[in-house]
Amino acid sequence: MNALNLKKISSQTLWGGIAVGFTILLMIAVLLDSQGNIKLFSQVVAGGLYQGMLIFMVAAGLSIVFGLMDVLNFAQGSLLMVGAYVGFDVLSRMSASDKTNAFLLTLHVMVIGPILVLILWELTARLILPRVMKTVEIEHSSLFGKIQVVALTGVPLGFVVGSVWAKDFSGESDVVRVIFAVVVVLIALLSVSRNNILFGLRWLSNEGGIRFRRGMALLFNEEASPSDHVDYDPQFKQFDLNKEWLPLAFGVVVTVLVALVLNNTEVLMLRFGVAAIAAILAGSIAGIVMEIVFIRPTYVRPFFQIVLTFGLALVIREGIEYRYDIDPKGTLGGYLPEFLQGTFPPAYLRDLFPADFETTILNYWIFMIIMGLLMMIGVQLLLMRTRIGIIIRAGVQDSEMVEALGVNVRLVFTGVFALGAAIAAMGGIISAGFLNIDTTMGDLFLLQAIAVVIIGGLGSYAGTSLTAIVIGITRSVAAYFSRRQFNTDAPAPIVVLLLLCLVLYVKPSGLFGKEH
Amino acid sequence: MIDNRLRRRHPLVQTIFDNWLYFLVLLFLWRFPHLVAEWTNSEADPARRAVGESSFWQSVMIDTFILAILAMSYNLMLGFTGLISFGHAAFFGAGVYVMAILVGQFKVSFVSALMVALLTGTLISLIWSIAAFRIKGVYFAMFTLAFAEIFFLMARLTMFKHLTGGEDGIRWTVPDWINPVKNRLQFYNFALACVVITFILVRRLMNSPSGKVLVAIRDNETRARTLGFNVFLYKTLAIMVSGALATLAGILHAIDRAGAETSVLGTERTINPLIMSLIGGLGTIPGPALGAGLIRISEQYLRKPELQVDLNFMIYRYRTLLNTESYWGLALGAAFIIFVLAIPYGVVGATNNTWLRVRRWLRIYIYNPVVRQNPQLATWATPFTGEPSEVALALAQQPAPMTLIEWARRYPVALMNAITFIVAVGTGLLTWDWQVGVSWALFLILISIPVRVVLWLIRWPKAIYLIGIGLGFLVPRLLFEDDALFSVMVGFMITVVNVGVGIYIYRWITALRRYPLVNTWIAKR
Repeated sequence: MNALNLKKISSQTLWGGIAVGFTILLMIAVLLDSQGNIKLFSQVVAGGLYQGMLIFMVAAGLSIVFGLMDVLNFAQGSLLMVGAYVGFDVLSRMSASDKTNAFLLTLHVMVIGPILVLILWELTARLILPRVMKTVEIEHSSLFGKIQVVALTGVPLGFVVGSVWAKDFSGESDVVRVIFAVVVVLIALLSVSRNNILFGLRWLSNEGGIRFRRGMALLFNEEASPSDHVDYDPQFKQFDLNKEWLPLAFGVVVTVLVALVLNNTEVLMLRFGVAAIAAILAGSIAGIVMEIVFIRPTYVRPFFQIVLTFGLALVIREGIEYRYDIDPKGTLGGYLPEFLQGTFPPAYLRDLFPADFETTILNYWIFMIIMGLLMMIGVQLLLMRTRIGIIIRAGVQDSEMVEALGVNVRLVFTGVFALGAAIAAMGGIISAGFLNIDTTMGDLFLLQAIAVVIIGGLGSYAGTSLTAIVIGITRSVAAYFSRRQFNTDAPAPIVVLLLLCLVLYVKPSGLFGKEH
Repeated sequence: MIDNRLRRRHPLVQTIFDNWLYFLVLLFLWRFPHLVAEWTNSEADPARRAVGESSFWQSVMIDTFILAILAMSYNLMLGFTGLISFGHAAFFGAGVYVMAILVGQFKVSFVSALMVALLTGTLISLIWSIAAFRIKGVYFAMFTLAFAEIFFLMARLTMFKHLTGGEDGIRWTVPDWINPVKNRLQFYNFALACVVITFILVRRLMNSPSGKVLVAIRDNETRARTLGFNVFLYKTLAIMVSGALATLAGILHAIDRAGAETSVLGTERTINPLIMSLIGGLGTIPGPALGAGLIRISEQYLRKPELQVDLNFMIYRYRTLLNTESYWGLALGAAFIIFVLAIPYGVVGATNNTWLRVRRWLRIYIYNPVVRQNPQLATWATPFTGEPSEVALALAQQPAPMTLIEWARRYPVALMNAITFIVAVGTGLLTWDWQVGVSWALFLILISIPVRVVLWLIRWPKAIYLIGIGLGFLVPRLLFEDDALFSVMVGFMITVVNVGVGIYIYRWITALRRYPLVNTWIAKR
């Protein structure tokens, strides 16, 4: 048993080593061919990395969904296209008028502000204050109490502040609004606080907390804790203004400072963020609808399921063509904030580098690489460190057993499908900042992603992540050599597809997959 | 008197008797150009006049024949052997490109180029078969997809521009005897002959023992292997025949267009035969050809930038122009998905099922010559002359037929269909104008669609909430486009009201579950 396990691990390590070694060899080849031209070399490597990250965004969904429910979704590339088009739609609709700015800023202060305050408050109370004031016992309310306070005070405050701030753009300001904001916030704070003097709204915090926890338990199939059955939960700490004014004030002040520093230059970033959120929402809704309406009735007919996903790709493409007509839409480069444009290093980091330092790497590539890495790590953490992740991994091994243990596997299937779709849609909006938006962008990414998933081993998330980077760099190096040889980089995807066919011939289970 | 059906006939006559429908269709297709020429007062042979209604319809039919061959070859892999191919464009494109390159660039003679093109297709199918030896199911689908995409990307490369013409494609001169411009009728007959040969080939293959093994592989590969069949060999057979036929379609396309363009290698060349064989009937012999004809000819009629729609209601005439050009792809995709979900074996499969039942019934009870000559065997037919047979007893034990009201309550959709049918036929008879009848039927079907959708959705009550939310988003978007805040508020109200109504309907249904009639109806849905 032990020996078998060891053999398995060593095989995976071996293949991983071979893949990494192959990548390093390719990079050395580029270095030798360009006669040590570091600028060219870094361009090839960064180009490969960002391509790998974009391919990964499609491949992640393919891999997880196939691992969990044996569905190879040929429409995953189309979901990326949906993300790109929805992002384009939202961005082009938000024209640079005062009205849009007001809307965006209000949204920002209402949504992002409170979340920032919450994070800072939690961090201050849990990490900073105990270290600064070691002798004093710090009391702070539970997360739900904090959410309540922030929601009840931050959202109306944000609404008022946002609208006042937006009015500044057109040269007006309103004192009444500010007074109104202060009154609303005071009322809200006092009514939520434990030592409130206005209303006896104890249910807002304590009983609400219990309900919240019960709902979460129901949602994630956890066992209800014994304390859920009582009306008053002693574990639940209510917000107390007397004890918690310091971290709360710290959070608010820092948020306001951040908002002031960013000021109105961030409107572009906000717009891009709003578009990204809209794209992710659209993608995940499309994923949920696809799973429930189309995929679910065909689990018993896997043959038709494959054909169906292939047809869904067509339908999505035709729908997009119908909605946005067939002409390419160009990139979203014009909508990008300043620090994502131009080449590395960006203007605000210029001082950190020598004066003659310049590269051909675009700032946006680095942004794409960072986003891809975040996504990679985030999904890995989700799979490895959360209860949902445990359920998914168990479902990959034996979904019937998981169902027998009382987990609502159908819900998990839908959720995972939506997760994959959301990642793909996010890849869409991110790639749209750099690549042309057109109706064939999904197909190209789909094939590369299929190559990645097959070579990495279907159902192996770690394999997919590693292979995405390897394939991205392979593609970039192939493009480099073909540009030198033939003056065009079109053959690069062919190399990847040939690699896919080769791996399918030689080792259909992929480098890290289990034998099927 | 000996029954007519027991008489022995000459085999040829017997063949014609057995396949009378196919022979009728063939006869019609053979005479089709001349019939169109008769009807429209144009010339069938463009050697005399190049343009005209007849030669136009010939070109449409040639396109249909090419698609029919492609769909039949596709069906051989997907419908009969269970090999999912997402790369049929590779064969098709190979046929087109090899013909165009050999004749157009290297000036090879037409017939030898044809041979080489067929050989190329077979060679590709050999590679696929070797892949099918190791790669199964969805992996094979991915392999074929990647394979076709490699060809597609290669054809677009600038480095092979001297060979493939890159994005511009190639033009070549077709020999006169088959030239679709100079000698279209001849090419029409050639293409028709190709379709007939393909049809006979596929039918012969599927009715042979090897064909039965292919179906066995589709149904259960492990079982076929356990029974001792060389699965690899049979898969090779299927892929090779399919590949050669698809290449033949490609060759015909190359002749038809007198050239090659990169789109022949694109995904739509795979999607089209897939949709056609699915709508016609996967795993049936005439299905794909029927699907190709249905789609190509309805496309000819319906896909227009300005389609004139006339609806007659007794005396009122509603006339409008629709841009169906942009709807076409979407409608085709939607039809595809509806077929996969609801009618997976297509038109032929669905009618076969019903028709088989009717024929079985006719064979047993009506056409049976033995029963006819020995009436005592069928006492149910002559209930007063003998003892009742098992069939008659079984029939007697059936419960009494439903009353009309019961039937209507149990099958509301059928009731709707019946009303539509009666109104259509009735108004048609009353006004003695078939257009009025058809318009009424269309109108009733159109307005019954939401009712049908709701009836279908009731099996899943949460859908009603979704509809409510969807309406909440849609209606204000349509009504108040200018005022965002107002439309959001109205949308919210509509959503709330709709979800409320949804909950009410849901409770109403759950309360109705107590009643057996509705209960069976809900369980059926």
